Amino acid sequence: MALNIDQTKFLEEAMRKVKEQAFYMKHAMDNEDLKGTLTHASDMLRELRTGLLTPKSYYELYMKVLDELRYVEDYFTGLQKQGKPVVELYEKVQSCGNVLPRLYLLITVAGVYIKSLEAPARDILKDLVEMSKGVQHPMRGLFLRNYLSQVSRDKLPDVGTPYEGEEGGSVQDAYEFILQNFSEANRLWCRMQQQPTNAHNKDKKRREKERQELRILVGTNLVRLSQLQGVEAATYKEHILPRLLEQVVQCKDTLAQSYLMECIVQVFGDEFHIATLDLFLAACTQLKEKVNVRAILEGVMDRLATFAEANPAAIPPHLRTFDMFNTCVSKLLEERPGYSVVEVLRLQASLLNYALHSFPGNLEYLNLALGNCATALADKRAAHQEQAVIVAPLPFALDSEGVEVVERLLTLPLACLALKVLELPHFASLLEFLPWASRRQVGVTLLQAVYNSRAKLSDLESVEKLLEMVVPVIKEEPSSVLGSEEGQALRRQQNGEGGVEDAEEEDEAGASRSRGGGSTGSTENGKARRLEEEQLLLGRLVHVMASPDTDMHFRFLTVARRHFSEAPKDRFQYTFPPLVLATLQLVQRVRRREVAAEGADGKQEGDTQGGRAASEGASEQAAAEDGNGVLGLKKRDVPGVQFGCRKLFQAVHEMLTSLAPHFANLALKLFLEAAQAADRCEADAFKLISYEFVTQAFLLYEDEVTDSKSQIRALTAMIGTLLQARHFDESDYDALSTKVTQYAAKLLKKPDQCRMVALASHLFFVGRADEPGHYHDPKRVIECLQRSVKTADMCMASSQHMHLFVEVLNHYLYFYECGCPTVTEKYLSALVAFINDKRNEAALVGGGPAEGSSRAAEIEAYYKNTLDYIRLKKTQTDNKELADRFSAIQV
Amino acid sequence: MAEFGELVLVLGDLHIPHRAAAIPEKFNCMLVPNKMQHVLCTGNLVSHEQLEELKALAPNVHVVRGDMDEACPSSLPASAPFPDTKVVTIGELRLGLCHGHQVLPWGEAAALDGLARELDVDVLITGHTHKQQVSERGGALVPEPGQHLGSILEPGGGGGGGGERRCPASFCWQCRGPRSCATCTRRRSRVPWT
Amino acid sequence: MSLFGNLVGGPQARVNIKLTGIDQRMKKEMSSGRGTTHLLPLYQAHEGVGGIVEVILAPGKKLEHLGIKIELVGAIEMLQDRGSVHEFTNLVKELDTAGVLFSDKQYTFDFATVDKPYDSYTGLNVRLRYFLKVTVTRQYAPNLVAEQELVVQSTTQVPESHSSIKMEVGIEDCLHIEFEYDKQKYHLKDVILGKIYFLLVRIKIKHMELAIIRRESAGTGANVMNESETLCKFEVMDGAPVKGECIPLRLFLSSIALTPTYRSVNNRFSVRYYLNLVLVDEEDRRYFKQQEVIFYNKELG
Repeated sequence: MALNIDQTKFLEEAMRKVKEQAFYMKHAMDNEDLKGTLTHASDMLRELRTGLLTPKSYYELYMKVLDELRYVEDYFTGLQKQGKPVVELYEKVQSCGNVLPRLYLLITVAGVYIKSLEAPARDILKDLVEMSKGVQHPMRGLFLRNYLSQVSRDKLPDVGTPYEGEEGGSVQDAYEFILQNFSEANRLWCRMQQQPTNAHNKDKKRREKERQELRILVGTNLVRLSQLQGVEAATYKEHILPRLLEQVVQCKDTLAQSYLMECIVQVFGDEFHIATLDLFLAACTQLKEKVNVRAILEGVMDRLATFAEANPAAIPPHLRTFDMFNTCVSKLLEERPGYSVVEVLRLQASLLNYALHSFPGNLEYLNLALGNCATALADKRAAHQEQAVIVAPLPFALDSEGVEVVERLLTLPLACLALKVLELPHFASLLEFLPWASRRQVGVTLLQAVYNSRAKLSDLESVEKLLEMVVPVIKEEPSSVLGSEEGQALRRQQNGEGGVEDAEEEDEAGASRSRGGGSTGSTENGKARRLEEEQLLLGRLVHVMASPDTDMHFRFLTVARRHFSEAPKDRFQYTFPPLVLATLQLVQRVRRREVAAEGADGKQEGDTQGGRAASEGASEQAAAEDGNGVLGLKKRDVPGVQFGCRKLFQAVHEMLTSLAPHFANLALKLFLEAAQAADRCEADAFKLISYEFVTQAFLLYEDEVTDSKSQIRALTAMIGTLLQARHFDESDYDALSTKVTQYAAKLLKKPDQCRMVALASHLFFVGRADEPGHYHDPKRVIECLQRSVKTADMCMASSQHMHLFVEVLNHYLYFYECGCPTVTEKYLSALVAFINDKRNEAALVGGGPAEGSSRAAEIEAYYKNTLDYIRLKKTQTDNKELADRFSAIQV
Repeated sequence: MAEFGELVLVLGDLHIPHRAAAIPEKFNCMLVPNKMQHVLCTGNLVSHEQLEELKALAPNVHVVRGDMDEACPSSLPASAPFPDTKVVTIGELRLGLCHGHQVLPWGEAAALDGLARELDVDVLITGHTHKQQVSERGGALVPEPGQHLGSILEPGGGGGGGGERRCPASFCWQCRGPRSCATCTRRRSRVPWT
Repeated sequence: MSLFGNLVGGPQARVNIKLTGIDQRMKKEMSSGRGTTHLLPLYQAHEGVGGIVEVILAPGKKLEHLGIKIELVGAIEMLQDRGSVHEFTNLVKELDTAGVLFSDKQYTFDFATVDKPYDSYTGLNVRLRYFLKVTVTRQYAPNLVAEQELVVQSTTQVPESHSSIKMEVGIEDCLHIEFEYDKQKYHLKDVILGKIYFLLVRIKIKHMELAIIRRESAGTGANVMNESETLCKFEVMDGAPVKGECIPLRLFLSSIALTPTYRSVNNRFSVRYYLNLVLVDEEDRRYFKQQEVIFYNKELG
């Protein structure tokens, strides 16, 4: 704080003096008093001799002085235009007694001198850069040299400038000048650190910070070099870069080496880097140990990679840049045994990143980098184990940084490789070094990459490999405490498995818990959420595995199931539905093959054509032609098909049976899906399977489904499934339908009863009256409907009272339209009349729609729409018969 | 875009990860954010992730509950579960949105008609059957100017419908008549989009 | 001719010295030793000094005199010790014998081969000067006197030897430098070019300067007075160099008031010049090395 106040004071004082002297100086200029001008200019410049200011304040002062020096320059230019030889001025300013003002003035005159072309630019520049050695104070020297650089910027004998020529010099003189100014500036800069101090650490730090602030003064020179028009890649390679690197390497200063190498990378063009990569990399291995060589290498790699991406042909392949980088990295590691494992890994990571961007698809490079890491880690582990015998018998484990790097190493290539990762042998070996959680993270990324790439797994080995890699996503770490904790969180989350509303309650409970007990609740929620996302991600994997061969496809599913089954049971809800549904999807393909094979069997026995169904999209006919004929597989259901539908259904049954105890609703739903799939197999052989699945669903309903909402949903699905079914024996269908209707009638709430019984009525009249082959039991239909009406009438207290009537009316209408013989216009007319009465009653009692006017309006609209529909049907001309029947309804 | 009015994307029964690993690529590349004003989803997203993706597509996303959404307790936003039905007004059109598994028999026009009456909508959009169809009375479903129906995909196949895996329906930006796996039932013949 | 008239009526006559070609002659600013300077005609050693002495009478007066003479004097004056004047040259020429002047009169004079062995010089303790002195001797009245000062300067041949000064100096284990001045002998408009190499630096140097010191010794025997005077301080380096650093040096002499080096002028005084290289450390300790250089006149002025 005190320092800051002092700084402000010092700076203000110096500024004041500068302004004062500048004022006198300009006054002298007006009076054409050269001597006076120079005197005051010197006095002004003397303020820059201060040692009191920090770099920041000094910079401010310097900028102010530079502003004023522009007047001096203009003044000198004026004198020159009047015919005064500039050389006289050049000599005159040198009589100034102090070196710093003298040199500032000299440089200022020199600018005018070069511009006047009265002397060769080359000579003047040489003189300046040499004379500037007079200032050895690091900060003052750096600023002086910066001024030199700035003044000379547009006065170098570069190609295409007026200063170039036999006398004035060539671009060589230009870069020699900059190089010298650069190396002097760099030496000054480095010296700041070397100055002996009282060795206070604080001092050292402060100095380092100050140096950081001044680095641009050194770097500017490199920018100037890069701006020379006359310098081409060859010149850069022959004459410039070697000098720069020599300076960098020899200054032996960590900060300077880091900064300058980075500068070189940033400042010069890509072509230059390509031409000199070997030189540059050689220098990289000679830097101080503390220099972050990796960052420098990454800088070059990034540039080259970007460049290569934009100009694919620009880097000649014979250059083998990857090998060059790899050699460089190897050399570094060899010469610096002190590097930590993490640093080794990081270096390899940058190498890998480079390979990824510059040589997409080159697995060899990637594998090389990964292999290097695996080797490094294996060495480390070996060393650790050797020690462990004596010291501490703990297993080798990476520290968190190491884990992070390895994780990155493994994650980086995923986006572009996706499934090709399986072809990198070192990928898996490196994976093993990670702790479970990290492996899981990598697994998740791998899965995402696979999905994004839309690649498919089509051979068993890949399937096995991939599943092996994502094992940490599938299951918990063996004997891990952490895992069980997660499991608990999850179970808590899934208690409300019965339905959404329950989950909602659970959420509220969770919220109140977290209100009471701090943040634990939310992190648990976060964990559960994460786990859920991962498991859903895992589920998608099922659909990435595909084979034109159904047997192979089933093997894939079996392998996946084997892995998924090892997970904690609460994860089954995520991974089993995809497995089950994929198996059911597969059933259809297998069934087609079976049908085809059966047909072919009948037709051409002994056909020994050995192919299997070639492509999934092949039509059944095609499948019939070549998807058969595998010989003598007596034990199998169908020749040529190892895993028949029966086998698949069996698998589904097993999966659902293991799912059922934990997720009854889900299992119930999937049993019904399976039943439908079996029904679709269109064969008597499967109707029993179908029946079995439905029965399982019913059992679950009876034993496990207790809350009314779930019951309604389950019943809806059951009715829907039965309605969809085509192949049950009539007695079975009848039994099942009766059962469902009983369930519906036993529901706890009256409105639910009313609705579900009405729905169940559809079970007894499938399709239209004129459609043969459907189950029709019109008597039961009207029984159900009538029961619904009665139940609705009992719901006086319910707000759904009227709505239920209209709903049931619509069911009546449906059956009436279908031609169900028991549903006659009498019922309809009576129901309409009944509803009208109810409406009038309600109007009388309440004087209008009383409760929930919007709800009442909805019901009104519903009713009106229904009546409109009847009226519309009456006038329907394209179906005379129907119109006639509707006309019988009284509205 | 203005001359075409508001674009509406209708889709449903994504069943990811139950029946598919991802939305088919061909279709996915058309799902560009800010192209549509409305997304109508007939449900069975099954996972949060899919919902998030839909939300990124358009400012108005309407989702109703599918049968699998019900069955998978943790797949839905517990705080605000999807409703069974939803009515969305776009322009002068009342669109009814329902997954359809609640309407028995599944996919039957007469039954769906009943729901349309109940919801008092001009167009009812349902899914579940996994079939692309337009109700028999709809004919060419050309919504009135300023209304567009996007078309639908069917990523999974299987299930309640024929169970076939289908390629996703093509998009009908120009509204030459949507082909969709959701069933669009037109109710009022007097509206000018016949 | 009365005493009264003399006292009251002002001078009866004036005496002027008019040097031949005075307008064309080069002039040189010369200090008179009391801070005042005069612009004086410049003669070289071998040049004759000639001109006209005018005696101008006041209107209507006459001048009675015992003789008129002109002297050319070369004298070394010790400034501290007033009155100690040593005339190393005194040439007298009679211009007129005793008589009476009734009108203005002019006399030509010419010291054609007069000996002017030394340069004019004004130092701290000593002055070497040349002057012409006209004396009109009178019997009763004071003599009429007129003086005209001259500046004498000689030029030297450009020395044949251009050997430089090179020297290594140091304090053991502290500081070790090597410096080099490009010449030993510089003419007065010359530029000193040099280099300072730092071979070992273990002190915290603040800056380095080059001073030109004039050492004047005047007098003889026990009365010798030595005076040193720093004519200029010229900072050549700001800040501390490190080992291996080489600092350039360039000093233009023309703006500095130098004289040539004089060695034992008439055995009465010497003027020598030294370059003093001074290093100042952060505790303001000064480390220096003096080195004599010879200044000479290459051309008049």
